[in-house]
Amino acid sequence: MSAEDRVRAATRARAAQVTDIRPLDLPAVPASAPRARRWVTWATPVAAAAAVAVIALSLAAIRQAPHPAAPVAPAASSGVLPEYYAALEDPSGPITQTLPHTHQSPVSVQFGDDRTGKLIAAIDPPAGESFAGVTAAADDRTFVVAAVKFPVPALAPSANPVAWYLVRLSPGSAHQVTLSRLSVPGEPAGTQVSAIALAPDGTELAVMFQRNTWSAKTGSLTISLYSLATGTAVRTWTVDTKVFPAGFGWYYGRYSNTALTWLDGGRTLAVTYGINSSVSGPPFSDGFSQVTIRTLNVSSPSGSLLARSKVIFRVPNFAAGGCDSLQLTADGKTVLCGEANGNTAKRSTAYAPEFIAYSVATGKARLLYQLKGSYEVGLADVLWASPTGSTLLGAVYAEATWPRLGARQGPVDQEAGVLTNGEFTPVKFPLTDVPFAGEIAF
Amino acid sequence: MSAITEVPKATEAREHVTALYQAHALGLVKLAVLMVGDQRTAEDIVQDAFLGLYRRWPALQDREKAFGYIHASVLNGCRMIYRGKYRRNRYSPEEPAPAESAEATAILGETHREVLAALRQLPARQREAVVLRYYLDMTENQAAKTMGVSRGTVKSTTSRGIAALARILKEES
Repeated sequence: MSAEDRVRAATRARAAQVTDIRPLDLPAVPASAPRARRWVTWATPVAAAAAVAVIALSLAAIRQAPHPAAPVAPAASSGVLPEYYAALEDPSGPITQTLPHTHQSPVSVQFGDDRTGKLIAAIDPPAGESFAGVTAAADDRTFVVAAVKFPVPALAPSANPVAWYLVRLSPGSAHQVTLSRLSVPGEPAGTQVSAIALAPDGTELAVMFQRNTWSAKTGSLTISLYSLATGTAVRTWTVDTKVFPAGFGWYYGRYSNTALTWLDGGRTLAVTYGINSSVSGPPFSDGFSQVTIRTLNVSSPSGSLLARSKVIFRVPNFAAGGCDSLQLTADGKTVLCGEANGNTAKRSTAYAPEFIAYSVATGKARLLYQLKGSYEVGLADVLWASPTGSTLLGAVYAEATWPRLGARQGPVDQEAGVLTNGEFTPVKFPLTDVPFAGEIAF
Repeated sequence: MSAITEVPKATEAREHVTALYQAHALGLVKLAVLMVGDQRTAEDIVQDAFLGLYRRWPALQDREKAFGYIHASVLNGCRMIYRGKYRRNRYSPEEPAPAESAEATAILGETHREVLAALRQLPARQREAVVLRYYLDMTENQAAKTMGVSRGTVKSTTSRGIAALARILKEES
């Protein structure tokens, strides 16, 4: 073995021993202006980006597709798929934790027919806002979208919601899409929303969030159930915690719509719950451990989330691999997991993104699909699953080389598709990038 | 539609810097551990780098460069350890110079221990070049940019570092 190879092996073995570090300890207020001379080397001239204080009151712009757009891809063949989707369209490119995401333009939401690939309509957010989350009711035509303030700070975690909108889709009618602002309240700055889920009948919205997530006085992990009719929280369940972020979901620009799901026709919420014990966080979930799926009867009184819910599945050896997204199927028998074990390890097929089905009854895992290739980093998300889990719609993303200095170095593989009986059929949505959990709803 | 209200600057700085810490601190501590030997010192260096960024945040105009600043600060902190100039804010200045943690190295194989010990005998710049090139797999250009030197300097420094390392390992075998 050459000296270079010995250095590689020894340094990586030593680095692998570092798995846990203490949290960042910041004073309450940053010092005033720095010594300019030192900073100047890192600063570039002020750009027009400072154009910020837009205080606009304009309505959202709804763009109807003038003509049914040509199918952009072979349609998914499975008849079990929902017909329509709503997806966030981010012209700034994909969000993955491997690269700092810059929010150069507001995120809009597009509506389309996933069986034909036709785009039906697109909605730009109201001025000064950008969309960050989308969730669907069971009728496949009712959606709720969350808006955050725009401009969104670069490199920031997901912003707090400032408004919620109800979107109704009426394909073929004169007004194919209608959008109305809900009276569901926004959240104060510093609130991290980890998951959202619209009830199957479209009357209630479940939101999992934590206030003051990044401050010294971290708030409770909270699930609130809002009535869309009145905007009031009809139930609230909490867990007191000192960890942050506490809820399993996304933290970089999106709100997960799979970490909370509805069961039993809207009587039960399935909650992905974990202990965040490290500094990492979703979408790469290696900061979480002891991840469980809990079920919560939504008719139970407000109070302790842990007391009111029960664990129905504990993900085996979560800390060893983790799941980027988890979803309990509607029949309650299967947990679908999207995962990619790799982060900074040597390039290997072992780090390819994959989907696994766990039996709730036995805990046994079954590999459903793995993206073929040799990677150092990957991401796999379950976007939608049929009631029994026999069909899922998922998205995978992988980079051949870990972008160690915040600059992408290797080629990227990404695709979305329908997985049935081990067959993965790619589906191309008319979006800039492949959508991940939280970015598309059916 | 609601009007925009400005997020207080301290909150904004905290959120941004904490988010950067969440995303990058673990990798930076690993890098610093290789440079300075023990994790406690490595964590101090990384914490101080982020604290520096936090203090400078109000005047930071190109926030896309924040990670570059952090990375350079960490490497600079590691170099200062070896120049004896690092202010050890959290620990007594009388503490002995950092050494490879006995606990950590105990569970590494003998071969790895020898290599890490040899690495620590290299001059700081050589060690830095070797770690950037062979731990982080940086290209010569990337390492040059990170170290603030020319590509040729990286090439020669790495070459001398590897030669010295091979010599140390041979002598000790």
